[in-house]
Amino acid sequence: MLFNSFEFLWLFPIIFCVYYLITCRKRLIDKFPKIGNYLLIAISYGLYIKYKPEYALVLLGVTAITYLTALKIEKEHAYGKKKYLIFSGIALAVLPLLVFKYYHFLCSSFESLLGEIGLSVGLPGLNWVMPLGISFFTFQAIGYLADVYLQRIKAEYNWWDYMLFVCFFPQIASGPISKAKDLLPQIKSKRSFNYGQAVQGLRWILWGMFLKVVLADRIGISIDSFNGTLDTESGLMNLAVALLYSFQIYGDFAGYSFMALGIGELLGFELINNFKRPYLSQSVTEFWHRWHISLSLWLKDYIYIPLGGSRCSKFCNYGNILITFLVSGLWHGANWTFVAWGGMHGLFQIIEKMLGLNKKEHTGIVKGIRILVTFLVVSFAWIFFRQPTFSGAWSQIERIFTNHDTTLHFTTESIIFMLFALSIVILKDVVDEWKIKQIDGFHSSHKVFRWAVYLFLLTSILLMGVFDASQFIYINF
Amino acid sequence: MMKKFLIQLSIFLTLFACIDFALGKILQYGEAHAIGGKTERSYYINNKTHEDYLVFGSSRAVGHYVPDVFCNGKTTMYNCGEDETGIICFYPKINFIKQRYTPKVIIYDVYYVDLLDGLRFRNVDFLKTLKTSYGKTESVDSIFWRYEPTSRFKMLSNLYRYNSTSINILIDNIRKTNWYDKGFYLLNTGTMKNAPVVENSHKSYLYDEEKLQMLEKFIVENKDKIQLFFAISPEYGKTNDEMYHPIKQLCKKYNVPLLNHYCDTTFTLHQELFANQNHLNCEGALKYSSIIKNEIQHNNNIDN
Repeated sequence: MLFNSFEFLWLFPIIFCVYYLITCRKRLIDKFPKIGNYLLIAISYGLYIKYKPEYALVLLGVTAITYLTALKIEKEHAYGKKKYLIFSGIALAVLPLLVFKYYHFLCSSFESLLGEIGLSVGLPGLNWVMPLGISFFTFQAIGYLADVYLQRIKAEYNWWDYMLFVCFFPQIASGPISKAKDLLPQIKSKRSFNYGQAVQGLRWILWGMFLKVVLADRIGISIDSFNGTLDTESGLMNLAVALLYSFQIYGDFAGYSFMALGIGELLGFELINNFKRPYLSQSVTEFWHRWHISLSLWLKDYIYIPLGGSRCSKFCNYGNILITFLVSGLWHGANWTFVAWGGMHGLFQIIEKMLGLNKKEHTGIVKGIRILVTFLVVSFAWIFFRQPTFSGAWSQIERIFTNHDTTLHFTTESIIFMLFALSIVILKDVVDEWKIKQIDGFHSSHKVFRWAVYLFLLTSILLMGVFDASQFIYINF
Repeated sequence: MMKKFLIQLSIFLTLFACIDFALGKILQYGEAHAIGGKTERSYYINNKTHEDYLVFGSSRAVGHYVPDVFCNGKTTMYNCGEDETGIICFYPKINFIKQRYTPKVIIYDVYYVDLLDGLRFRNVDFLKTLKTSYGKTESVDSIFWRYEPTSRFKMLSNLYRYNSTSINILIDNIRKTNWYDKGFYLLNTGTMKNAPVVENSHKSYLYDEEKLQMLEKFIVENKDKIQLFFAISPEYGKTNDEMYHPIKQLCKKYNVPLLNHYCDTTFTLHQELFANQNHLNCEGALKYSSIIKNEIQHNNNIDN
């Protein structure tokens, strides 16, 4: 279920009402304390089956494999056997991801490699659509397994609690990737309706919807029409498309994440906030502490630290950073352009580490310059994320630097829409970053001002939002 | 606490409903009193046209039929073409227009792409210029319900009807821009520089049967009271018009004149008459309009 669809608008209130009608009944809860969880499992699987019934088996399979493997690991005392179990468990859990997401990529790369040495091999193709959120729920389940192996947490013995941890519907499609230590205790605890949490949840949904349908989708309509023709557009147009894409992907992904956060809050769960104003970062290192935070934490805990992290020589540390971000790139997409994108981020962070910029924070004009430079560097890298081929990416970069024509092919209408959305988003992020309470409409103590802001956003969503329930970019992962 | 939450939410939604209603009325006023631009043109087409000749079709209709060529002291014409639309838009539109008056002649510029099955997912988009006419007549409403069943609920919101058009309404009430003349305007200016390699191989086409049926209904419901002409304007380099076979069949079945210039070498071999492969430039449009005018006159003389 896409959160920006009409279906969500009528279905979620029903889910909310049914959930609280059941969980607020004291007698029923006393008799069946976990009934709320069973209901959420039924809803989560119901929505997943609605998407594609057979893929619910993939979700169930990954859940079962990691659940059983974790139990076995906990019971096993021999280190060697534990190691065998963790690697087998991860291999089995990641197998569907490899097949659905990377099979075609691996085959075509293998064929290209053989082609380079004059061998021609035609491997059979797979034309299967990816199970929704497979990258997210697989990583979440593997993270749990690793935590049990590393004895950070105890294995979960309650199958139903663990099942909900993996399939929880607000986060399954595009994250956030929750840690077992954060989400499982909430699943196991008794939850009741909390007014403040519910209001905050609605705020997240409203803001997330604005980011998605007004910012991301409006920009998408304006720049997607130039796909395939950017090499005929001016240098300024190519630059504008690159910069606007930075905001499109931010609005798209952060918008979804905030809506997932909001839905979780409405149901009494605190999910991790995946975005903290990433384009106000002073360095690429800081950017990854503010962008897709749950993935950054996952990569740090399960790739970077096990490789040795920073507890090794400098060069080893740089290598660990690069490997971590190459994995990040590969996670984002089955294409060498994504790997290159990840590699670039790794390289930028290595340079920052060498220059000591990763730990240095500035103020004033220098801070402003660093924020701007970081934004431009990240936007440059996004070119490789967006373009399907290296030649397309290089062509765009070349045009930006060599073509001095300043013709822009946006309509007046689209410019106004985009400027409006960008101004609101930048204003909110600046207000939140520097805690400018006087104009913080979302948290103002004056109810009239707060409600005026909410009504303004809702009006903007209806007047300027794009309502064809367009796919979230990150849903492809 | 749940009670307080639901009460606050209800009050908020009620407030929003009032804003939705009030702002919707303001936008409705703005739409009706626009002094130029897309808003004025669209409102005129849906609510004010009274011309003898109307042109329907997509961007090729908009930019290929110059009303001044057709107009003389007695005949008036308005180009009602809409970019990226087709029969799903024009079938309800003519029914909506007929509530006010019945035009004498409709020239429908058909483009085969509109009738292909592959665009089925965009059927709802084709209704975008009729959103503000929703609720005024069942002929428009029923088309919305057919292609977007949830429109019964979405259209309860006045603001939703003006989704994506509010900026235009504001601009078109402040600034008078008349880049169109009796509805006609060129979407693509200039002359095609590099002649494209044109595909003319024989292919099979999968048509949207619903759209073909709608086109047939359009003919059946209007041919007795309105003089219908179907036209296929030229496309650069084309030598093969087999994709228009369903149109030819329909026209033959109902004896509707088909003015087929798709492969007309007067145009198709002349790059200088095109702005791009699919659209004539100003010179091309004037030349084409003259030819169509003469053909219509000739057809009328034969009938008389």
